[in-house]
Formats: sequence, structure tokens, C-alpha cells
Amino acid sequence: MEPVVEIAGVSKLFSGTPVLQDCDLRLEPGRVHGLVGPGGSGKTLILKTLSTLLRPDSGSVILFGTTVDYGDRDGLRALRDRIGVQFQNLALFDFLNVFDNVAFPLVMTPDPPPTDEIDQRVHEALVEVGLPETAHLRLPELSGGMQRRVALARAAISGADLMVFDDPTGGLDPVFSSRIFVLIGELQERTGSTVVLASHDVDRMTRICGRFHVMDQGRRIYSGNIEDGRESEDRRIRTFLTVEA
Amino acid sequence: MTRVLLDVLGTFGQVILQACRVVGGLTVLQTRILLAMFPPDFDYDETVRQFFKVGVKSVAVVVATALLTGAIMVIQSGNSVQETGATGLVGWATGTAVLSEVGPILIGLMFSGRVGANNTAELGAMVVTDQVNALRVLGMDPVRYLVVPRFLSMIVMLVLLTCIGDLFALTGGAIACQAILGIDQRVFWQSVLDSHLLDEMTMGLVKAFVFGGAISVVSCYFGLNVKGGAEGVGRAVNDSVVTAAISIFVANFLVTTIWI
Repeated sequence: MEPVVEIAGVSKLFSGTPVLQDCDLRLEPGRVHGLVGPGGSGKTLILKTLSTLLRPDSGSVILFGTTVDYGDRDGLRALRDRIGVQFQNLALFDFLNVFDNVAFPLVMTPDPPPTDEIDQRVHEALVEVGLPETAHLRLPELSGGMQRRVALARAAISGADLMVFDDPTGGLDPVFSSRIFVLIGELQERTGSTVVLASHDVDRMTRICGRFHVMDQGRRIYSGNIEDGRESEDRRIRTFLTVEA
Repeated sequence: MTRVLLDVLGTFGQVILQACRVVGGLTVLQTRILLAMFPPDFDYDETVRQFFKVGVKSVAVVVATALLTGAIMVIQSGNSVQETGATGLVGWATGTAVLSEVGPILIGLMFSGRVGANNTAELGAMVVTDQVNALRVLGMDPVRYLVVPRFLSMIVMLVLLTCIGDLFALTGGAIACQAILGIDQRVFWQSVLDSHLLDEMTMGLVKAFVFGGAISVVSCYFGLNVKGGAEGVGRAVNDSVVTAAISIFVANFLVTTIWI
């Protein structure tokens, strides 16, 4: 089966410091992929790379069978139309209310759906994340957990082929964390999209992730299922995959 | 000694390189703005929002600045006018200085401090919280969506604010003329009208147009190029205000030289 994402030999330097080193990653379609590793291991950077937001210094990025050409704006836009991202710090637009934030990916497409359809889809998305009554609220009126769910609704509303979640439960209590993971799992089952999520919450990730990728020092050091990883001879892999929330 | 000399040369070289980077970056951004405007392809709702935010909310500060500037110009020229008895020239002196030079520059600097700094901070915060990346991944070009509306609103609003400022500066001058110099206001207004200051006023508005463009490009450039977190935003705001002020004085010199 052709991978949705194929990153090969990607390296990136920030101010002379290597942050990604000859990194590769392959994501098969229709699964939930978990990305784990210590802080600073390059998880966010690899997610930004496969979202086309970070241009590597070397190496290649192939998305949906197309090699990313960073000079081709139309090509980039076509690829980005197929990607939904929830950023680590949410990146909700603070000058818009909840409804407009969630509707943004639909409204800003070159061929937006009719207003009635947008209203309906936003309502459904908010019901799905348990926030049906918040459409008119401004972001500062929401708690951190509610904002995370709004970000989840925005990332999911366009039904992207590839959904990227960077630390979707960061700073949330265990109850909310479990709820978010269940929502992501349900979302993937319903849409059949490919999902990749980075988190430190390995325990809860095992409930929805069929495949894990372990990052360390800017390199991917493991890809496979959780059981094999936990029996790996590499102590780092065992450590990262057995961390409990 | 040689080491010190090399250090000085190295520092000087870094400053020059940094200046070249900024000028290059500003030029690229300006080009991208113009390309995004022709044919018009930008967000109209965001543009309207910026017009309100940039313009309406700046009126009070511009009026206060202009009133005092006009009054100060009259007070400064007061002694000479009273000594020579050339009261008929007070309107001409104030009008010429305010409409062509002092008004646009002071209003431009106030505008830069209020709107430009705010703009850099807002865009910088959007960069560090990944909102700009979110726009990109949603297929939006940040220049079209964020920069062009700010560019248009700052140019249009600074020209309009300068018109308002001109009116209030002359009013301030007239009030000061009567209250401080004891010269009848009607003499002041008659002097302004007799001086045929349309050319000076036009030059002032052209300057406001150019300053608006410079402030918007500079503030957007530093906002979109923020590095680091809150500290980076603070540094960008500082750099933006300083660069905008320099741009205003350079642009003022160029427009005045070309005009005259």
C-alpha cells in the first residue's frame, strides 16, 4: 500500500544546531500513528515537515505520492488542502469567535460550500467535541480544555486525508485527555483518514494508535507496534514506549 | 591592537549585513504586497476590520497631537511676530510648517508608535502561537490575508488622519493666537487663506501616503519575522518602531527634495 507520507533523509539546522538529522518516516494510510520521544527530540519539527510548514535543508518529503516542491505555491496549496493540523499551542485565531474558527477551513477554500451547509457542519463538529452551545463565544471565555476541543473540531472539519495532532492533550487533566483520545480515535474510524499524533501520554495512545514511531535527537529510531517496541534491545525505545501517563 | 581593529570591523560588518537583510526583506515584502493587490485578491472583511481598528481608534490621539502642534508653532513664532508687528504672517508661518512638515511627521510618528507597534506585536504574537502557520496550512497566504488589509488601511487612514490633523492643527494655532498672543483669530485664518497653502497641504498628504506605506511594511515585516517567544515579540516591536521612525525621516527628505 502506498504510504501517505514518506520522508527520507531529512535534515534541518537551526542556528548551526542540527534539529533533524537524516530523519525518515513512513506513514501508511488509514491508521493512527503515534509519535513519541523526549522533549526536544524533533517530534514537532517532523510534524511541521510533513505538514509542509518546515522546509528541510536536505532530504525529500513525499505526500500522497507527490514530492513536495516548496517553490510551487499552487502545488503546496493542493497538498495543504488535504491536511488538517492541530498545533501544539492550538493556534486558534483569537480575533474570531468559536464558530468562525471552526468554520475557517471551509470558508477559506477556493470553492466554499453554501452558508447553510457550513452552519450545519460547524454545528455537527461542535456537537462531536461536546461544545454545542459555544459557537458565539470568544476564545478567552473558554477553558484550556474547551479550546483544545475547538482546535480539534477545526482540524477535523474539512475531513482531511491526513490529520496531524501535536500534543493534543498537553496540560489537560486525565478525564479530558481520555476524552480527546477517544474523539481522535472515533474521528479516524469514521473518516478513514490517516492520523499522526505526538504525545507523551503513551498509555492512552496505545488505545488508538496502531503503530508507533520513536524519535530521539532528531532521528527516528523505531517504527512498529507497541509490543515489539517494548521488547526492543534498545533501552531508549523501551523507555519511551513504557512511560505511563 | 590588530585584534581590537578586527573586532570593530567585524561588528561594523555585522551591522551592515543586518541592515542589508532588513532592507532586502522589506523590499521582498513590498513586492509581494503589490503582487497580491493586482488583481485584487485579499480578504475584504479583514480589510474593513483593519480600517476601523487603525483609523477610528487613532482619531483622538491625532486630534490631541495636532491641536498642540499648531498651538506650539504659533507660540514659537509669537515673539518674532510681535516684535516685527507682522501679525498677518502668523497664519502663513504656522500653516506652511504644519501642513507640509511638522504635521505629517508628528502624526506619522504618533501613528507609528500607536498603530505600527500594535501591528508588530499582534503579528508577532500570531507567529509565536502558530496562528500564521495555521493560516498557511489552511491554504491561506499570510501576505494576502494579514498584510494587504493592514497596508491598505494604514495608507488610507494615515492620509485621512492627516487631513483631520491639519484642520485641528490650524484650529490649535488659531486658539493659541487669540489666547496667548492676543491676536484676533480672524487675522490668523485670513492669513492662512491668503497664503494659498494648497501646495503645502498636498505635499503633506503625499508624505502621509508614503509614511503610511512605510509604517505598514516595516511593522508587518518585523511582526512576521519574530523569533523566539514573548521576548522576541518585544524585540521586534522595538526594532519596528525605530526602523519606522528612520523610514519616516528618510521618506520625508526624499519627498521634500523631489517636490521642491
